Amino acid sequence: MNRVVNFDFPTDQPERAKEFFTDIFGWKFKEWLNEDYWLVETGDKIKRGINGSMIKRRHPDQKPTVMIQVENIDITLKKVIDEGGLVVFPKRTIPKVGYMAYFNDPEGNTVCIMQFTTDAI
Amino acid sequence: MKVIHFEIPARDPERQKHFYSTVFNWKFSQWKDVGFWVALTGQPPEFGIDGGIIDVKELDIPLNSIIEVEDIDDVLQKIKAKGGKVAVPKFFEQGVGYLAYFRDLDNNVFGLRQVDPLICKKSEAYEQSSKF
Repeated sequence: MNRVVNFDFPTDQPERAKEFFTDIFGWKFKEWLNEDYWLVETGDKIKRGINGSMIKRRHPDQKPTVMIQVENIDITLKKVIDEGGLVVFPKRTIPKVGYMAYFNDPEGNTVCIMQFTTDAI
Repeated sequence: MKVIHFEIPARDPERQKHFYSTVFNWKFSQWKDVGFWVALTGQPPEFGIDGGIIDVKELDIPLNSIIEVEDIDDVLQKIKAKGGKVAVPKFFEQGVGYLAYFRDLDNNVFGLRQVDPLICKKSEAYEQSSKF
């Protein structure tokens, strides 16, 4: 199945955003490879729910989104296009993690898809 | 406090349901008789969360993730004290609990959900009774 496994949101001021979410929700932030990208640990691993990511804003109209895990990103991207979606951030390799892309659904909502595979180089 | 649900807005719910069920195999079922369709995306123990498609005529809200909280009033107060804004004030949805939406300091919208304690009691009672 293709489940939502992560969420992400942009920020202009990472330090301010970190303080906001840490103070109110107890979230923990860990920077990922100095890429202006932070992994967000939202709570106890054994409790239901997902973790997230915070991204230093890369374009002005960037919005929060969710990440859907897929088995084969190429097949999913083809289906997205066939069904009237638009690929807005083409497939990108994240070494040893997997392949990632962003698309817009037919109403223009941006969504992330991720194929996890440690074979990705 | 963890993200336990997500919502995707729809101006045309049929088109959105068709898209997500065709591309991702999600199954939809309408919530009561309102413009909200629960998206079943998989089965535990498979990791991940379910979500929903919401008709913008029901609630005009952007794509958002919903954070489960224990005390929604306390969290809303903290959000305001820290400079965040309430986007949709707290309301009660029978069978779900208390919901509200806020904007963080970067204008991102998130949802909040406090589970109705009566539902917890019922499901605990159900779990207890189902053991026998």
